[in-house]
Amino acid sequence: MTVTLYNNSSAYNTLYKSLDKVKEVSAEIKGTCSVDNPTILIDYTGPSFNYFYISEWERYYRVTNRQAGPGQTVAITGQSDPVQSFASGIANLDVMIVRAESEALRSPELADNMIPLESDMQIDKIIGDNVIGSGNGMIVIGVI
Amino acid sequence: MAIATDIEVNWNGTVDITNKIGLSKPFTELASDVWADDSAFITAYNNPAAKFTKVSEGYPTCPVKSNDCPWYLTGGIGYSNINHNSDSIYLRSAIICIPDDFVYNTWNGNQGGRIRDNINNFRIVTSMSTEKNGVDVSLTVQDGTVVGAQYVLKETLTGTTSNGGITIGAGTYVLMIVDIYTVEGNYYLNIPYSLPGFVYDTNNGDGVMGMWAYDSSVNKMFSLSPQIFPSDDGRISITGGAVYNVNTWNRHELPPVDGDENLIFAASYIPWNWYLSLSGNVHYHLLAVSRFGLKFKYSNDTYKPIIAQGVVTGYTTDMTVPSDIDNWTDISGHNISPSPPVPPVPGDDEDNTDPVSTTGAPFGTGLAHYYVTTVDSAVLGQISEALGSWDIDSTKKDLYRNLISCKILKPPAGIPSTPSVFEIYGVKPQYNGADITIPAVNGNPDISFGPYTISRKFSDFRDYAPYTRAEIFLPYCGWCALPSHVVGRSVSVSYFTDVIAGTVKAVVFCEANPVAEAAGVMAYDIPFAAQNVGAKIQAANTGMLAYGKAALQLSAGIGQAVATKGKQGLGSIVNGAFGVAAGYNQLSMAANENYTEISGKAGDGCALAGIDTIIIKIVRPKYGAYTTPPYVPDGFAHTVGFLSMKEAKVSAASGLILCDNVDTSGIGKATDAERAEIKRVLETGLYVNNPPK
Repeated sequence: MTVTLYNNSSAYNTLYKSLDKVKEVSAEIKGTCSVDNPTILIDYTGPSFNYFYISEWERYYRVTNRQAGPGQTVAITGQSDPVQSFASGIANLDVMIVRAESEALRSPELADNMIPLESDMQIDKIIGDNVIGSGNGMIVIGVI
Repeated sequence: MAIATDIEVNWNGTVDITNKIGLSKPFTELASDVWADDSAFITAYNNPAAKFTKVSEGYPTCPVKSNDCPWYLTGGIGYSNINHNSDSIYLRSAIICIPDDFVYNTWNGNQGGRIRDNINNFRIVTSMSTEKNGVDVSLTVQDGTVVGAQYVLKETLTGTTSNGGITIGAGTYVLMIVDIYTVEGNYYLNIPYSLPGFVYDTNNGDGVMGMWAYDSSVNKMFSLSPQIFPSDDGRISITGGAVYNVNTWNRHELPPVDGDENLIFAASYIPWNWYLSLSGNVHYHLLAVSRFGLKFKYSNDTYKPIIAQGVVTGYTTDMTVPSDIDNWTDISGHNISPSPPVPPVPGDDEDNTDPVSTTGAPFGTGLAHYYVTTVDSAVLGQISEALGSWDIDSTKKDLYRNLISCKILKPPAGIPSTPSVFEIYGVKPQYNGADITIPAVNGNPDISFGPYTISRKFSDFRDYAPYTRAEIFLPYCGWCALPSHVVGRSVSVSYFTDVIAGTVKAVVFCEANPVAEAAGVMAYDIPFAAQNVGAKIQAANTGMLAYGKAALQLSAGIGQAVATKGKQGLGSIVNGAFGVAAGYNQLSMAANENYTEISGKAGDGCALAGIDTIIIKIVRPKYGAYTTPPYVPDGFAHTVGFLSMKEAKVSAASGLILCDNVDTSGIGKATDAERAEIKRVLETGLYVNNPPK
């Protein structure tokens, strides 16, 4: 099978990870394994990598273990990364977004108890018009 | 000048926009790689002339898209065709695409940055003309893509040039139509509640310096020309409008063609505390279209266009003047006007914008007559002397008995009066052999103050109760709590007075709605005869025991006044009354049951002392620790996120999202375990790289 080796600089919980391709190599399955946690054997020397893609399985994997074998053989164990493997499907999901980083998705008029509020208050003041004029005022005399 | 304000958009038409606004492809095909390459952008920026050609009419023509032409999309952006030699200015159009995730890079220090990434998220079409015609722009959208546009020429506008720019004289208007299109999934309506306008600069070369729009609902500014703001101000700027002879650092002049000057403005951005000027999207509308008739901003004044039935009849600085601009709606029915009507007040109905009728206090003299003069007027002495020297024995009339009231007051407005001759009990007592002239009161003075705009601070829930509260101090009446919905709106105060009783009532309006009412006393009585004095003292002693000190002051003053009754009696009483002012004011305040709230002694003696101005106090959560919007700790948005509660596709997000009860059934090939993991990640926090990297 063909395996593409990458260096992944993104966090696991990232959709569309930043992957730098290292090399494309041939690999064999070591024994029997699950699709979720395969161990593959590759002949490899070169830059390090932490991520790989198995095209036959259409899945991306995080490298969880790496063992050197005879010669240039390396046994690589991976953990499936469904967030990357099914990125397009996830992107098309209709979801109820509870919290979001983007201002575009923010609902600022909803009370957000995660925003820290100081108990101290700040007072802003608007000085309006003068209602009581200066001077001594007026005298009104009533007579009959 | 007639300018249609309604721009029809044919969402299903197929008008070809090639060579009209410099575009030959749908936006969506351009978005992914335009301006994605820094070096190409800089190359183009430094040599924009190489990237453009111009047709004879002055329309910019965009070259064929290629990798070395990152300005491809900017055929309409900031491309101003100005012919200052023939008193004309054309800004035929500009299409501006603005990202929604605000990935801006500063570039070469103060040269600003430019917009890049995901630029298909905004589309603004501007069109302007001063000499030829006003221009309306219509776009044609198919399946969420702008595929066509056309102009509709309107009424002739005029303008003159001066020093290379245009001078907008009195009575000359330039209307710019700005359309903001939003398309489902990709585009957002950005500034639905904005106050768009121009800055017209008289100091730097007579030019329209730019176009701006302020979204008061989110307290954010957006502009279309950088020169509006000082470079250290740094509000976002997106390309120039009709600008000439303005020394901007990101202006580029193209070689003149046919005598026309051609300018290109780069988009720019310098971080500033209104940094999310184009963000917000708090009024997200699908498939929404907005239209703005922009107005000029002459120096420090902002003008709102007064539009009725599609006709601009004038401009005003009073934002409360009704205009069709108040009632523009998008195609989904949302009001997107720059000055939308007040949202319904709880308990009120949809007619809440109807004016509330008010009435003043009745004024009837009946048997009595009322005269008014200033406290220090000599006429008081004349009356006093005339009454004091009156011959009671021969006339059998004691005129003093016909004095029924004497008040000192400081009304909030002048007391309506007419010149007259002093008359009492059918007698016109004379002073030095002549009638005594004194104005006769013929009405109550009523007056309104304001409006006062109570600005929002946070542009979110913190602007309202229970987080923010507003109070108003009404001279004569004390402090009143205001409902929280006044924040972000304007309030005004109407004072209704009763001169005869010396009382006042203040009604606070939030735009069209009365929101508070309070009453007070604006006068106090001056005792002028023994029986009156006795009555006052009795009232003070029986009803105001708590104010014994005040009563004592009063008694002392009255005693002085009574002792001097005689030839100089009334004048002395008046003078003596000043000595009792404090006492009576306290009595008046205590006796007034209509005070809604009195805080401390702030309202004491309001007739002669204390705070004499309206004060609006807004008490907000302290925000000093966070100096820039949205007033949250650094990293809050990225690590915690803002409350959203919106349904959307994951692809619509950028950055962190946390979702609720995700249904992953749409992911066909995933195993149950993988779906469970995807669901877990979405519900605990997923960072979306958008656009995909």
